[in-house]
Amino acid sequence: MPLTTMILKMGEGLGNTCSIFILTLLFSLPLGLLVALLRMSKSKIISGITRFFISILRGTPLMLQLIAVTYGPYYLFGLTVSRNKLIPVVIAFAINYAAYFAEIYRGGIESIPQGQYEAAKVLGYSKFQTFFRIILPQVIKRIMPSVTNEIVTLVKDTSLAFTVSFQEMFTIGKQIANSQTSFMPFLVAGVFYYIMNAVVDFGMGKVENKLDYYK
Amino acid sequence: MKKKVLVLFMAFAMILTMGLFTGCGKTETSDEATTFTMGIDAEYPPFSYIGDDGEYTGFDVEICKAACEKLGWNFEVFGVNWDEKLVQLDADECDCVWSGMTILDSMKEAGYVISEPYYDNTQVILVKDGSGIASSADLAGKTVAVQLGTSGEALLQDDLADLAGTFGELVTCDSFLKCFTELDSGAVDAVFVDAPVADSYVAENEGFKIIDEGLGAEQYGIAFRADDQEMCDKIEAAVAELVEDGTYAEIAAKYPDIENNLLFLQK
Amino acid sequence: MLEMNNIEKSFGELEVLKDISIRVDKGEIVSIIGPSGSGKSTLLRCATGLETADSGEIIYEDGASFGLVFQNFNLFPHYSVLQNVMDAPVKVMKKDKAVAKEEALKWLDKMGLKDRADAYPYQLSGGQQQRVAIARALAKDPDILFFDEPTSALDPELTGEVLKVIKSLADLHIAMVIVTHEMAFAKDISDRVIFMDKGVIVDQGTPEEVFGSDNQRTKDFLGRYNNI
Repeated sequence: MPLTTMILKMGEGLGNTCSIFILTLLFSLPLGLLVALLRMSKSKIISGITRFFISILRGTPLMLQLIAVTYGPYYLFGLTVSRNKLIPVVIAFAINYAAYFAEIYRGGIESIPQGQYEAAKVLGYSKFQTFFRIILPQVIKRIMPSVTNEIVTLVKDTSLAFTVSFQEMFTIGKQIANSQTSFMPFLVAGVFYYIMNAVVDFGMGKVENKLDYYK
Repeated sequence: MKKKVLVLFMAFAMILTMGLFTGCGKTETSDEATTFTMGIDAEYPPFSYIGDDGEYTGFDVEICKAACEKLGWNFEVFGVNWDEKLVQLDADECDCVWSGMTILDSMKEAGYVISEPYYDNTQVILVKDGSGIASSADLAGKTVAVQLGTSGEALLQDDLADLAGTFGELVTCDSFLKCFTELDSGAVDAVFVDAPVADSYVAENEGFKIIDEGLGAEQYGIAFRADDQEMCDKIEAAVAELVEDGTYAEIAAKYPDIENNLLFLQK
Repeated sequence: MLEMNNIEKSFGELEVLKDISIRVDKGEIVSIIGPSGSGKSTLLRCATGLETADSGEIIYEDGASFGLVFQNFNLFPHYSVLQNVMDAPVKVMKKDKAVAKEEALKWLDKMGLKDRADAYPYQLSGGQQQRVAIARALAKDPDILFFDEPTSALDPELTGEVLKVIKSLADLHIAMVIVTHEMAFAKDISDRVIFMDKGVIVDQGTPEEVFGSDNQRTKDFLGRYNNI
């Protein structure tokens, strides 16, 4: 197979890889914040349940969760499996990453000194204003390195979508590799991932620089 | 006027009802616009793989495509995850699994409709030239690789467990390519593998030798969902026509590695 | 203007405030002195709603408003000096942005920090940060301003500048309640001094009365300071 054909073919899957990546971030970052707030809820029941779900999502392989989300509804309720695999794949990824992000947010929120809340309270900020104007911006700066780590991992984790036959870049690469008994597709995949992560690094570096105006 | 409205209404209701019924499954009797989705392992040359042009091809794919043309069905390919092929078949993601698939008793017991076998397969031992291994007996104490989830792996755990017991170590790889690479690099001494896969590898790569002792004879067939006997019959009939008019042999000629073991050409 | 009646507060077994009652009048400057753990800070935290008293009542007459200056400043690090001062007036009091900015700059000017309006807290010395915190509290137009040991976290050479600006606020006729260990400052600035120990008010009165008190506990406490 000519290298150009191989790159084009895998490039088709790259669109799907990017879709998983972008949609997962889009959903899991806010969802993670919600989960973190539930986890820190004063209600023992709510925080207990949330903690349990987080432990399941972090304690079982993402591959298993992909299978559960994709085929679970069919086995449990006889529902048709979505033809568009992007939907279950993104749901599974978003939920899984939300659990990880939630713990990162929690660590960040708990690291903000109590004095910040007290100052905001005395100045008359509402709880909502306090969180979104005073606390969250500081949390975001503090958790940036951990979030970058997670995002880099996500780029590489997209390859797990092959489990449910989602034609993302690595799935196609693997198929070509075994069809053509060649390791070339793995090399191409490696280059693709590296480029994607270089872009992520660059972007996150820019964001971190932007947040560097204060300490 | 009233009558016209009534007729229109009834016609609309009929169309709706028909739509509902035909919408229940693409396996309905009306052949027109039926789309047949073939489930393949795209990593299994020469039966099903990605060709030089980047499209799905292989002996099974070409036969299925030709059969669909005969039936006037739209033809589609779905790449299954081999470890979950039957789950994906059940879940309606494809209408059959047709991809150099070994017929297992467990499949029949589970209720799947299985076609007539079309291919005789054996497991062979692939070694490097000059390895000094000439028969399965020479594998004693050696490191042998096998692909995860293949019938070769199942055999070594079951019918050929005694043979496997003599190995120094049994390594499981998740693809043929990795098995062969391990062999090439000297990490393993032999690969236990389906004959056609070994044949096509040896045809393209020098320095390897196949030891064929007719181990683990098995047959390939097509799996359909439990309630799709009718679909299976139609596909079998279409394939029979292809055999009849010579198309089958024509396609087979493109795959010399497996040509000799195709059952329909031996009759 | 502020009335606190029969305030009780315990943390677990520890009784921190035992039946405390105080009154602060309009424009009055009150210093609260006493050893560590006497309950001074807890009293301020109860008055500002950061702690809830177990019993007793707190009344701000005629809807009087308050501000609080913390020991550790608690500036918002992600806001510039100007934003720190004007954000609450705009977001909480819904003041016009331009008006709030003008007022903020006025307060910063009074604190001698107008030229640092665009700096961020980390770029300032502790004394400067505390002065920003005072400007931030003043920007909310409080009727009463609480100071919780405003110089305790500062290096000795920086306490002077902060005490000086607090003193300069006296002519604003804003009531001030200052918890402090700076005895000379308390004596100098206060209309009234309250000496607390072990959760009760031991002594109170004009600075002259308290600093010249016959009360043995007051004498013992003040005896530890030799620079009054």
